[in-house]
Amino acid sequence: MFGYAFKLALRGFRRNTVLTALMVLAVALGIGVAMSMFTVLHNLDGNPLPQRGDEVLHPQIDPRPADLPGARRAPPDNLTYIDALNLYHLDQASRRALMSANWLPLRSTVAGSPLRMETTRATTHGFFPMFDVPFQYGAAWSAQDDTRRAQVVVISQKLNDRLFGGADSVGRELIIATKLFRIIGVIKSWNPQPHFWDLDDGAYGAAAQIYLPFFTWLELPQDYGYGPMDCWGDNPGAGNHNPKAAQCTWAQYWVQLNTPAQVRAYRDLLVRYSQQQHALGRFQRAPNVRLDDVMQWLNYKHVVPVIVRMQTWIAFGVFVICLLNAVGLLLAKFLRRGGEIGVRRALGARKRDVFAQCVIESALIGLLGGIVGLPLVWLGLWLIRQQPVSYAATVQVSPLLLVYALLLAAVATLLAGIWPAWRAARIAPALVVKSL
Amino acid sequence: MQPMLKTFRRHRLMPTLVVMQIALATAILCNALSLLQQRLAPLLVHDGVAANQVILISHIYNTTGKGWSGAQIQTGYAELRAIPGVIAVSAGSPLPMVSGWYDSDSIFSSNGKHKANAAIYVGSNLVNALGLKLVAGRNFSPSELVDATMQNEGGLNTDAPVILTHAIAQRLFPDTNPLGQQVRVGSKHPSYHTVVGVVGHLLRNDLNSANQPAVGNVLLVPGRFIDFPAIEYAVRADPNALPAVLKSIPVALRRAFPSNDATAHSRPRIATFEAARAAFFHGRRAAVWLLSSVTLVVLIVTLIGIMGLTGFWVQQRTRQIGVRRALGARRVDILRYFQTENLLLATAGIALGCAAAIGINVWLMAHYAVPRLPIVYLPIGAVALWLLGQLAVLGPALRAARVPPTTAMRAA
Repeated sequence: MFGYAFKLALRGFRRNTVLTALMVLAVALGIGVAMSMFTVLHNLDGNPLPQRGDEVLHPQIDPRPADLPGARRAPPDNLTYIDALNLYHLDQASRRALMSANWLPLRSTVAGSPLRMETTRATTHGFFPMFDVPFQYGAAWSAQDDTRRAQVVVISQKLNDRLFGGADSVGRELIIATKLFRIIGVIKSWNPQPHFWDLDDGAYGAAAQIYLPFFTWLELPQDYGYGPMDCWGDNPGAGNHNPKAAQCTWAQYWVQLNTPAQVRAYRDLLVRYSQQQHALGRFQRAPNVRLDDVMQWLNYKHVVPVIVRMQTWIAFGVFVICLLNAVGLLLAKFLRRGGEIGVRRALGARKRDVFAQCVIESALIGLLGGIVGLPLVWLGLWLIRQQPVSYAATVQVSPLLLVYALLLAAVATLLAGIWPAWRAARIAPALVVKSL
Repeated sequence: MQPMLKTFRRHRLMPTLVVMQIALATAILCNALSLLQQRLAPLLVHDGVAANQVILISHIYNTTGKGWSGAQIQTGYAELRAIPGVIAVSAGSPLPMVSGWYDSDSIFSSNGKHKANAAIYVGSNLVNALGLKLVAGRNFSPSELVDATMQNEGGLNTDAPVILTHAIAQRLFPDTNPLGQQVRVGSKHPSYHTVVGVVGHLLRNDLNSANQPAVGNVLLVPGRFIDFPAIEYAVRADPNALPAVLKSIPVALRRAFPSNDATAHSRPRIATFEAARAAFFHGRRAAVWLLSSVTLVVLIVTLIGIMGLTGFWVQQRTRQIGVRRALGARRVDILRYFQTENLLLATAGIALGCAAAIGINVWLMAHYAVPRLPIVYLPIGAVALWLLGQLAVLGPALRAARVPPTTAMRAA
């Protein structure tokens, strides 16, 4: 039965080569455009911390003055130094991380070695377990290292490869911002996208090369900015040399809360803290807090670039056009063969034989279209990777993706073929045979 | 007209499919074209810099945390200026195409009537070093140079004169001569700056969808840098000497900025303006390719669809065509008939599609802060699809016109 339908389908293709070729081309183009764009969106829209994205939360409070022209209602993304410190000490039970980022000059202890600027993340010990950072050598620093401002550093695998040829460098020393630091751990390649914990410098891109204890970092002799400083009032540069300035927000804070009850309690804590600061005269606004988990935070910050959303919508539209096209062309193809179908029906083929025959033919066209479309998917993704936009680097072609593309092509065309096939099966044999 | 509408009522299927395809294609085409234009526009704008003469040096960061002193920056200038073949040198920050940071703000005309967003380039001799063409007024005189420090926001908190590009001069002073007028930068800086000159073109270095219509809005400030942690230079040289100058620059920089612990710096990047421009626009070019291929795919697929459907529909009506021919219709009448029919269907589809395009855009604007779809894309999309429809119907219609009148009699 299936073999016969297959043979008939091939015969049908041969009879109307041009129409068949056009359909295959249309499906191929549709798959090429749609799959490449969907891949981008899928890569960008994913959860960067799937294991516990809903347990890791980003608290925000509002320390801004009551009258701030042009201010949005939402609280600032980052915390001031005072609030960061207060929140960090307020909830000692939870796993939490205080952090910021900048660039620091680094050189090895070998005399005459070159000095290079490295991307730095300053954070507290909770960062590594909370975000599941994998270690190649050594381990993260401890809570004691944080409090006694230890001069220890965790470096990336890339930096370790460059400085030490990939050898276990734990215990070796580096000069960072003129101070001597001991390497305590080397991170395996780890770079979740988007790097949700700090979106101030864009959401996609390379991970930091060195990780320093937050409070050690704060006391380093440095003039490289303490992360993206946002100050209100008439001195926008107030925080450049004084990260402790009361009117500047720049520190990111994340906290891990394992149950919904804990989340509720923490939200209350933030409100209470705001009220208390209000009573003390530090805060001028009514409590204005946010507590987002990873995905909520990414949505709130609109991290998926608008252009990608637009492109995806366009790709979706192109795909729908292709399907509509397939419906129309399949209909034309089947009804044009009304005579043949009539004869088959007259010779005893059942409606469902004709239906199956048409559906198989549709799926076959889809499969062919998919095969022709695969290079187009590859081409589309290659074009996307040519954009030096930070997200483009994350776009990869996986074999699974190609399988999906094939499946999508076949299934979509099969679905598109159902209605035309049903119309074809309804052809009344008597009428058709009479008109032959 | 009448028989056509009757046909549509009798056979709803084929016309509906054609109309839907055209509607979708219009909606997508309008949106894709507007995105395409957004990406493409800055590539087409004249950058105003003298061709094949300019070298940009960037990323001379002082990595000790202190700024480069005024003397060091001046030494860098002198070393570069002394290279044989060099015509002009300017320290600058930021510079077009190479700077990773932006300085842009709202610029207000002194009467407060007009406002425009512009990028601000500060430099000691940018007009000469970039080879900009003055279209009105004059270049800064050496006595007008102000000290540009981190504290006075790169000279913006002084009463330094400014030079505008033609683009922003027209925005701020649409009906007066900009020369001698005053502008104010942003709402934070109290000082006024007198416009002494206007240059033809110059591109800003912060291109995004918000300042898309203002890619040529630039304000030049005459500044002599003091204690700046990051410095850049523009060097203009004789085109013939350019390769030799490129080779000499690293040596000159090493002399001016010796690297030791007291004055450590990152590796400077040196590139001709053309190379820097190509790198700067690389992503845009890729996006343009991507969007144009999408547009092309939409057009091809729609063409295929309409062609296939119309072909079938014509075939279905072979007998009617035969009857009409037998009753005296000429070939050209049949041809016109199908062309008009397609025009009607296309018009219906385009109307639906334009509505959909606007609807989608409004929805996207509400959800994703997408810019408004410029209305001009609707007629462009419409014309494109009218033409496409006519192109698609031509083959089937010609085939229909060739149907001999005898067909009507032969088929029972």
